Amino acid sequence: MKNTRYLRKFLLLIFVFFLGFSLAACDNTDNGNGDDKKPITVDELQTEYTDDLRLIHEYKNKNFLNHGIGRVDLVRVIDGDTAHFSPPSGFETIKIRLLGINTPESTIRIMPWGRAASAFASQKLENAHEIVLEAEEVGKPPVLDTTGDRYLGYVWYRPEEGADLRLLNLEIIEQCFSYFTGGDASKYYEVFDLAFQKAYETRLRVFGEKDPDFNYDTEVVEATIADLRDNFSSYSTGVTMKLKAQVIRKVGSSLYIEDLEETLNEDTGESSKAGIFLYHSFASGMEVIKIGDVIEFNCQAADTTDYGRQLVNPHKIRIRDSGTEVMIRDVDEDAESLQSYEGYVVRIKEFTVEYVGKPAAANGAYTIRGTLKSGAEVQVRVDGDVTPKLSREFIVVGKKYDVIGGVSKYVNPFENNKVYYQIKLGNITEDTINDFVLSANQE
Amino acid sequence: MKKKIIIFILFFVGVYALVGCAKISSIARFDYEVLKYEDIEDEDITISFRVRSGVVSQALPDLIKAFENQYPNITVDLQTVGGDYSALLKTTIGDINSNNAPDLIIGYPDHFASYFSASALVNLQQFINDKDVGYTKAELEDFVDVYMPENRDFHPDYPEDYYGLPFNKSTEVLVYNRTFFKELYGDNYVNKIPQTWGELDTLGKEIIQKVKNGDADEIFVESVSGNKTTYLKMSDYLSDNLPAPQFYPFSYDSSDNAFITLVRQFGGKYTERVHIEKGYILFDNEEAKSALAYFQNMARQRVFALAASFNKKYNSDLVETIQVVMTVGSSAGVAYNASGRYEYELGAAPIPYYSEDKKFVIQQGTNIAMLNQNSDAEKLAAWLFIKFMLEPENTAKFAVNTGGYLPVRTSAYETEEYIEFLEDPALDQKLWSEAVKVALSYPERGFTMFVDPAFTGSAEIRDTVGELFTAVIVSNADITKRIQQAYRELKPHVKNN
Repeated sequence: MKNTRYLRKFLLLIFVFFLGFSLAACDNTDNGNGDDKKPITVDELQTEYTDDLRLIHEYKNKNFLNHGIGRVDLVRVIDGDTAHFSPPSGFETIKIRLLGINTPESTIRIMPWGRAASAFASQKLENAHEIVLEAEEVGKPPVLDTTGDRYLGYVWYRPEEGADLRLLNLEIIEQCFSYFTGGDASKYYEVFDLAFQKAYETRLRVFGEKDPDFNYDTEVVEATIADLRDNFSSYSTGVTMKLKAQVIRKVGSSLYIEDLEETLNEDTGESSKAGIFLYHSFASGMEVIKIGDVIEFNCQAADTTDYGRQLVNPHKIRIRDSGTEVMIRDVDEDAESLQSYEGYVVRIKEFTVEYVGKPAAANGAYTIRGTLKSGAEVQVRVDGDVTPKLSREFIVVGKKYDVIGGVSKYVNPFENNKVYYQIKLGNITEDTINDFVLSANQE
Repeated sequence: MKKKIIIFILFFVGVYALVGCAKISSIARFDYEVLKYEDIEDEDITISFRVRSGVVSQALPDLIKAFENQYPNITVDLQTVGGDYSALLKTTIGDINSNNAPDLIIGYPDHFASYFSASALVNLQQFINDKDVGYTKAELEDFVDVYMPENRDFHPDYPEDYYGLPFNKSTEVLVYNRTFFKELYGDNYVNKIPQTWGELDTLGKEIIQKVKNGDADEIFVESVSGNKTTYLKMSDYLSDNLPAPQFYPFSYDSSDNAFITLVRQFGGKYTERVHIEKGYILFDNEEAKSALAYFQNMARQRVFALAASFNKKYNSDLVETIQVVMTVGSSAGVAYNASGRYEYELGAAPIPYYSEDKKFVIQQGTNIAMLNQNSDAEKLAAWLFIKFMLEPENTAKFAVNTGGYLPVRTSAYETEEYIEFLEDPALDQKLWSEAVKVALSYPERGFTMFVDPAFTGSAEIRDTVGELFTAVIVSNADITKRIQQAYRELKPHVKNN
């Protein structure tokens, strides 16, 4: 039994290694398109409490999930108070919600100082020499937060070899990116409370300063997806936009949408309708939206590190038309990459399945890997919030399928942040029952 | 428990040590003069408005901008505090202590009591009475009645004076899984939605039986392949092989509100407010015990639950996984029950009642108040902002922006924006709109809307009865012993103590 487990792990390691060298549809240098993005820089403030605090527990040869303390590697920073890690040499993801802080949003909506808080956390963790997670109670397994998906923890990082470990949670307060939200039962209550009071007195950042990278104008700007494509960085500063677009596919309660009119894409010289992914974390009211509906809504634009450019925080959603004809683009048979299709719903023909991933225990998400007709490797993703999902049992390794889905960017942290352009399968309903079907010559 | 008592005492000591404890009758009624706008028109004034980070803060920026357009010399600095309302209170007490208080703040009456004790709360009556910038009698009467009393009765010598005005308000409604009901009971499902707890008890047992029999095993689709559809097998939630059932027909979201509302629906007393700084607990009575016994019995029958019955913190997680198909929660929070894992539609209905003569439903939410560490010019600017925000059009707009919060002016319900929200809501506001319509129907359905009387310490009493209710429902605790325990924990609030 034990040997089988090791064998499985070994094979998985080989597979990931193989992927890292062979995937043709990936690229780790690309930034998406020509719209220059100004990185957010964070000037550091004084951190006397973080400088003085030391981790007192032994963490070597311990495992966070079992012992409440242990060394981990960074998978990715989600925002200022959430990050994903993995055990050293492991592939499982440990999602951590940092204890005692609550930074402004920068993913599901854009709030002042949210992106700066996220940039600060990234800056520290991505350059860390070593990272240690600590639970509220060491010696016991960590506790999950209210989502049931993330562990609560303190994140210690060593900036460079030989330096002391620093508590990121505390430092984020001292950098004035968060109020102290922990209770008096938390183990570091005293130092967090003192640090917060001192930081608060400065009235800097979230305690009273305007975010220079946030657009405070409350006017709603009418825009098209093409406008966004051409000037994304000027729209991703928190500005609220009003869009009218056609629904091409539903992915959970999120949508792939396209402009109603064709526009000239200056990069490609072609006229087409621009498309983008609209992320919606709340499903209330979305169940009535159908493919082919024309919807009008307000939203913000986000440039996420892991999933690329997308629209977020949709609200005031109204259906303006229904039953309009939906056009699906066919991917060129000799396409080596899906990059130029990002944001569009496409059809790939004769996708050969090589591997079907295990479903995630929490939400049933899984990944299908295979090759395009050109031999280029791509992955098809079934996200956790997709409902209903395509049954995994239906997919046979070695068979060819015609697949319809939205193209999105995915940065794989387990492969040195390689950028993939993957196909996201949508909700499988009567309208989309043919989104994943055996190719004609195999019926 | 010892720890809890110590924390409780420390909280009191802390609050008083920080802000100082004035003898409340010695607090001056007014310590400011009402200026005219012409007096400050040429002065650049910045006022700070402190709120909790979240839906409230997100709904404010365009209203603030509209205010600044109307009064170009006044700038509103919106301060959003992360964390819960206790964090807002704690931060503000610290600021009062360091003479750095914001001009305006939202909060609960017991928070305002702390500010009042520190002589930091502005008596708004002088503004309200002012013939230029105040309210007419008709305007004051336009505020929704039930929200007003908790903003009075701060100063013992002037109990009619207002120290706050209502700001964001909500009530409780029943939310049900409409898809589940439609599939199980067809088009006449509405007749099945329980109006009383007795009906809910009967229906709950029927639903359990139907779920056990597999009648709900082909409603919620999990996955689809070429020709095969796999459904959530709800009967597995009630499998005999499980150590405990994973399905309850009903779950109450807030255990605090459940205790306070249900005790009242059974005719029992909860607390008695003497004045803003003093109140007693009264829930050791037969009616309260009957209410607890009634719902404990429903819990034993596996009909009635709390999120804690599933070891969860939020009810909405259970609605999402269809482990619960009916829940009572805040009208402002209904959308949290939206589908995430399975596709379904939700509906809203009135909270069930126990008997026709005691149809009680709680009203909750925060008020707005002014703190006094500022000049008279800043006070006038802050007052103009309060007045602007509570204009019928603006309280309506704020309510629509937030979702399920209710406007605080009666005439706000007649504004164009609010009529559209009620009659033709955007898709993402549809459920909120339905919940608000239920809330608006309470008076004509014979419900009495009540407010949990606030006084210094009432928040701790709420927490304690919430824990009591959880112990009775989830752990099947002995009711009399558990009430006695709560009385020991709340000793400073026991009458004749």
